[in-house]
Amino acid sequence: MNEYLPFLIVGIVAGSVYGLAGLGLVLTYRTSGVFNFAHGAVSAAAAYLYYQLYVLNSWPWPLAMLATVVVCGPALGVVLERLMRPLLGKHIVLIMVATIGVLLLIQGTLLVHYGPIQRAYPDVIRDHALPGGFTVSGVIVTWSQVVTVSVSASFAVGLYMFLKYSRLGVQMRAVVENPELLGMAGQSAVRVRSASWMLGSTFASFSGILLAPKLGLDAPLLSFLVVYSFGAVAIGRFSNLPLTFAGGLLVGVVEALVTKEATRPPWIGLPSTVPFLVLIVVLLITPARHLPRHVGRTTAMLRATRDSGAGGERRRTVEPLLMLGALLLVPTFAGAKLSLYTTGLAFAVMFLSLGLLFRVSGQISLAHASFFALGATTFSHLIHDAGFPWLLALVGAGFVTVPLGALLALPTVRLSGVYLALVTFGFGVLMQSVVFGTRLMWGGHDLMNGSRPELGPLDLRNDRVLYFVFVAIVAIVAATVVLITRTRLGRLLRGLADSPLTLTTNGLGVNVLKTLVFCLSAFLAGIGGAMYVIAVSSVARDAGFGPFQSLTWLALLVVFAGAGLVASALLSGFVLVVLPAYLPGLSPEWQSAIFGAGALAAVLLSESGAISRICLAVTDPGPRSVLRVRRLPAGSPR
Amino acid sequence: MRAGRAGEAGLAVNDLEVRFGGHTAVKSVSLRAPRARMTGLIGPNGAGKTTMFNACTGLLKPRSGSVMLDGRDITGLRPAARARRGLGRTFQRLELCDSMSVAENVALGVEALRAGDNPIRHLWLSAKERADVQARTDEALQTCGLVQLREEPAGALSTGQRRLVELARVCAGGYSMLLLDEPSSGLDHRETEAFGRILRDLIDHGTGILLVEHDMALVMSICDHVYVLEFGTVVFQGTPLEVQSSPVVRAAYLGSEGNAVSS
Repeated sequence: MNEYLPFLIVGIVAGSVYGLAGLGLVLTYRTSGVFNFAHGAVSAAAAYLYYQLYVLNSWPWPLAMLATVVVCGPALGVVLERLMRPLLGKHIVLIMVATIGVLLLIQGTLLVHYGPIQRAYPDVIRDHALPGGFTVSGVIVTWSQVVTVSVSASFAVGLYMFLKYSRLGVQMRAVVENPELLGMAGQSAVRVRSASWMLGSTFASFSGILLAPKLGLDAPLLSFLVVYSFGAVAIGRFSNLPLTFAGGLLVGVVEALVTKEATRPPWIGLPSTVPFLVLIVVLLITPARHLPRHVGRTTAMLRATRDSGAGGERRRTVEPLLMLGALLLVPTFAGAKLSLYTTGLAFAVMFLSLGLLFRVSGQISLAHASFFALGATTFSHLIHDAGFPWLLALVGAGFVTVPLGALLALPTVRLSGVYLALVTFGFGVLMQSVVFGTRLMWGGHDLMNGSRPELGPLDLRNDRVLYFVFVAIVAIVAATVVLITRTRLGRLLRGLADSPLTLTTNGLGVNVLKTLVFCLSAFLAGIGGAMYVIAVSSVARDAGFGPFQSLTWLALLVVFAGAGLVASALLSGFVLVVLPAYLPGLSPEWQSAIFGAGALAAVLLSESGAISRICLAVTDPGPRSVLRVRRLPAGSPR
Repeated sequence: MRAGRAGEAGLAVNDLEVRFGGHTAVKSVSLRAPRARMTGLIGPNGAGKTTMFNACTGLLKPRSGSVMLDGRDITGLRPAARARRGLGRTFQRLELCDSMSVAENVALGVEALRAGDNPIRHLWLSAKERADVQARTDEALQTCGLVQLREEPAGALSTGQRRLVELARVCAGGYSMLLLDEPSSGLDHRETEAFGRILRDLIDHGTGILLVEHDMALVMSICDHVYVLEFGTVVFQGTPLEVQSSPVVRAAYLGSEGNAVSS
């Protein structure tokens, strides 16, 4: 028993912080329908502010803490509530993209201001208030750990009491139980939402200060905090607050115990995936009726009306020619940046695959970066280990990715909306921390290499030749995707996005259709990944192909929702890779912050109607809302 | 002609019970909606009409009871399989693909039915099958008076027109049994009349219809038999005339709703 005790203690400490963060997530999700991916960024902001006030400005620590938790936390909550207000009841992906925008904005700003270097963080409790600790059966427990757990627990109990006994609390609880009540509550709706955002942010702030001494002052790491509480939130079934806190403790303890056991290479990445394993398992076994229904829309499309094929014939022929012409002209002005455009084309293929899945068929995947990475490593294996010819390896990379797509299609049978997004998110994390290290992918290597051989008359070592070959591949993929959308299969896929209920009640089993589109999409993403490793010549395991990357890609597609399917893929690819090269004065931190602000603005502007004309399908709540006002047939005989 | 086919089975619901948690939304309901007949299902809001529809089409799992279509038990089938057996429905809250044109929406109904469980097989249609899809679509558009609107995006139409598109979609599907959920709400007077004619025409061709409707004038004028649902149970059934004169119905339904509607 004694050998487990230290891990148990660490687990309880970590778990109480997960629980605290989870409470904030549930509060805001249930009262405003926003599943806040930026929750951890609020923690990070608070941790930095506390650092600024206490360390840099030498405020006394109680004052610095008060300013951070009691003033800044709620203030950020109010700002976030105001920002997210127009998104109430909107498409789940818009909401996700908005929060990821906030995340990137906060994280980028912090990094711009404080620099990317991780700094040591003062542990106030250890240094000033209660130094030292005591021993339990020979295991040292620091007072800092005790304070962390007891403060988290008292926050949880405090919240419980507040919700149980205060008037505002009762209103909030009613809303958490049944969000539709919010609409009926009239005037107090905004107040209830503000209050829960303030509370949620305060919790996030406090978790940040509690965690920073352990993690160091590291904005990305602190922002990542929120995802560790996903498991806790799932255990609480996205609505039960005490269960969420208990879930946090459970996840923390299990994680620590797994850390104790999993000390050898294949399992060494396992502990950090425990929260996501919990998330996936709980979501997959919980009957759908026990998960709260979405406040926002989930099935509706996110697509410009021009994809629908209802447009003019002339545009259909002129637009592709214009795009192809522009692509062919690139080498004349790109100069030394041509290789970046080549990489951009690899991403364009990936964005076409994501577009087919998301824009056309309305399915959400936050594991797309896994497809991409698997394509890249498979290509490398096929070329260098199996001796495949170049073109065959390229196509093979696509085929090897297909089973992964089929696997990811499985949860779509039971889940949709935010729950599907979270399962695919967890899947992406699992891929990154477990599968990336296996021999299927990077196992044993730091880098996976591409290959640029001579193919008959085509010498791929020449940058221009490679570029034109990639243009040809993009053209083929784009033509295929566009063709698919125009066939009967495309009509079924668009039907899947618009109204799956229509398909089901008209006799179509949608599961096969979903699996089909996930497989197709994975195939294309795999090819995109292979093109990527060819273009950049080698890919490292820690190049960041995780779920946050997938979210960023999704955000780009949302930003360019107004453009056509192919144009949006090209634009997204080039903005992701090429644009930063034309802004040499802009550090990656600035770019991240600006991109975050841009994504947020794109979503909010599209919602306020400013660019609704371009993004009609994104914004238009459509006839659905008109329907609720039932017109009485005028003058009909009764 | 209708009398001759009335014996055909159509939809039969036996002792159906649906629960949401502790609440029993539908309690041992039995009803018959034969082919070539218009059967009405009326009742105040919350009586369980749409719940009945959802249970019949398989979107909800009943706690007990059975649903039979043309004499075969379909209780255990998925919604799509039920549709393939000939059970079609429309929705009170319209389900259309807003980004598609009217014609595409109607064609989608036929194509979804064709594709069935295997959309891949659906990729290769013979010229004859394609022509058949086209013909059914055109015919349904014609029947529902949507020819002029065929290229309009469905999202841009009025509620009444959208209801017609949904109806055209199930018409094109050639279902033997249709469940229509408040099809006339949102229609104007002229549209409602046209709607009634289309329904009558379907009946004459042997389709059975189960109609949930709030427009009492429409129900009384076109239904052959009416069930009255209240608090999840059938409180009365009979011809429209019997329903209108029944004190039970008056008390349960027309007494409150009827006055409100006609005022």
